[in-house]
Amino acid sequence: MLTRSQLENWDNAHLKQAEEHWNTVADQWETSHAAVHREATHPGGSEWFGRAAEAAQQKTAAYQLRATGNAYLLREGAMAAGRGFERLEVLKQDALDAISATEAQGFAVGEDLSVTDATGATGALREQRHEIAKADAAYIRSKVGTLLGADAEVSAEMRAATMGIHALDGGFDPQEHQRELAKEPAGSSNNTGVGQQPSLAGVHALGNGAGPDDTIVNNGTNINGAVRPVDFVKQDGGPQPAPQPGFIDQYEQQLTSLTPQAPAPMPMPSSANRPPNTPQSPGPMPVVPPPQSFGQCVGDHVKENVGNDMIKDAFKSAAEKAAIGAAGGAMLTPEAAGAGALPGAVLGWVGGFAEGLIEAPLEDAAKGALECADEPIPKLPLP
Amino acid sequence: MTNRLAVDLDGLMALSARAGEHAGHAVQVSVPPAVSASGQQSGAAVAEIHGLVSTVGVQMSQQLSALGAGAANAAKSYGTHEAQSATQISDVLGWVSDVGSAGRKPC
Repeated sequence: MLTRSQLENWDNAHLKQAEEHWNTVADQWETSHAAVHREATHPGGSEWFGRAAEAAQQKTAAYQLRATGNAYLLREGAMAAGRGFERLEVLKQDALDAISATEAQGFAVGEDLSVTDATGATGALREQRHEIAKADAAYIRSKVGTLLGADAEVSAEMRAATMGIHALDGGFDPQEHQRELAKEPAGSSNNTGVGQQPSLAGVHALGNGAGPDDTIVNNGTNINGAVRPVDFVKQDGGPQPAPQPGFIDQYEQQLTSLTPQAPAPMPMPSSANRPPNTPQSPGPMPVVPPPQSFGQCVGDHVKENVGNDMIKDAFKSAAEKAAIGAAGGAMLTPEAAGAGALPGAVLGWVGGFAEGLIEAPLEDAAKGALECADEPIPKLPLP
Repeated sequence: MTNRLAVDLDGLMALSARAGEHAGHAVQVSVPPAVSASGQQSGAAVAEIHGLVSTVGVQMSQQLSALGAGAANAAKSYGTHEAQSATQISDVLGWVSDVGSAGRKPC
């Protein structure tokens, strides 16, 4: 519990400063990486292309993505700080107002927030004011307790909001990296013609995101050995939060994942006085014959009738065409007493028979189509 | 090939300058204000997050510095290898993958 002087000196300015500072840092993180990525795309305002350009743009895009995610989380923390500032200011003022109201009634509020009667009343009035003093002291302490509880909640909100902030590629430990570099022989060179670096600190953070165009010219050193994720660690002695996938990791995974996400389940409306749930055994499944397609129906009709119809239509057509052929042949050879009737009849019979064979399946198909079109579409039986 | 190399060279140099410039900004802005709220849990939380922000800010700055240094170095080597084959040029571009390998002996 706070003392009175601690309450009076309670200062929430750090939350306001944090809000402003974190928003500024977030802006800087974003603008810096956006500018570098823009420069990688259009250096000096002109289009940059080539293998170096592709590699650089790929790398700066990854940087920008992570910086954007970090900035988002930091702004969330800044908002939590800003909300916390407003809330704690109100609660602090509530506690101070409770003290003022108590003192205005002739009571004294001590450093330990105890309340005593300052009027020097005696007798029954004294007893009555003693009871009022006890109630006022409890009220003041409850106000201070609310302030302390809110302070803890604001702390948790800020920590939760910023928990996922980390550097690129899981981050790295600069000190560890410097120790790794110190093990390397000074002045040595590789076979690529690449000279000494002005500063090698932090360069291993570039390593894990190599693209397909990148050619790794290192010496086989396991660069991951020098990489250590920078995790957020609670330092107030409280229970450590369980490790969760970071927001940025999930964000990047969503951006790069090709698997569509399942839709979120729809919340069901709740209702009071719901009867107890009694599981019911499902009834037998209705047997539904598979619906026959239009094509199958027509095919069945054709298969069923085509043999008979081909023969029947062939003879029918042959007889008709033979009669026509005979008449035509007789007309062409009147001087020979219709001698052309016989070959005309033969030719007409043969042609008519063939025509009947060909036309029969077509007629059957057309008939089948008509009958199948008239049949109702199969439906599920009603329960 | 020469024009392309010239474009790449200019791009690397411009990228180097820009990355170095922003690396400095990132460090500068990451320095947190002092937290005077002693005894308050929110004060402790703000101090912790300030530390996290500073650490990540410095790391980002170092990454940008390394990007700029790598770009400058690749540009320098690019110029050296201007008349060389594309294979050698792509080797030079290893800065993107691991600038830190420069100056080390291959195993």
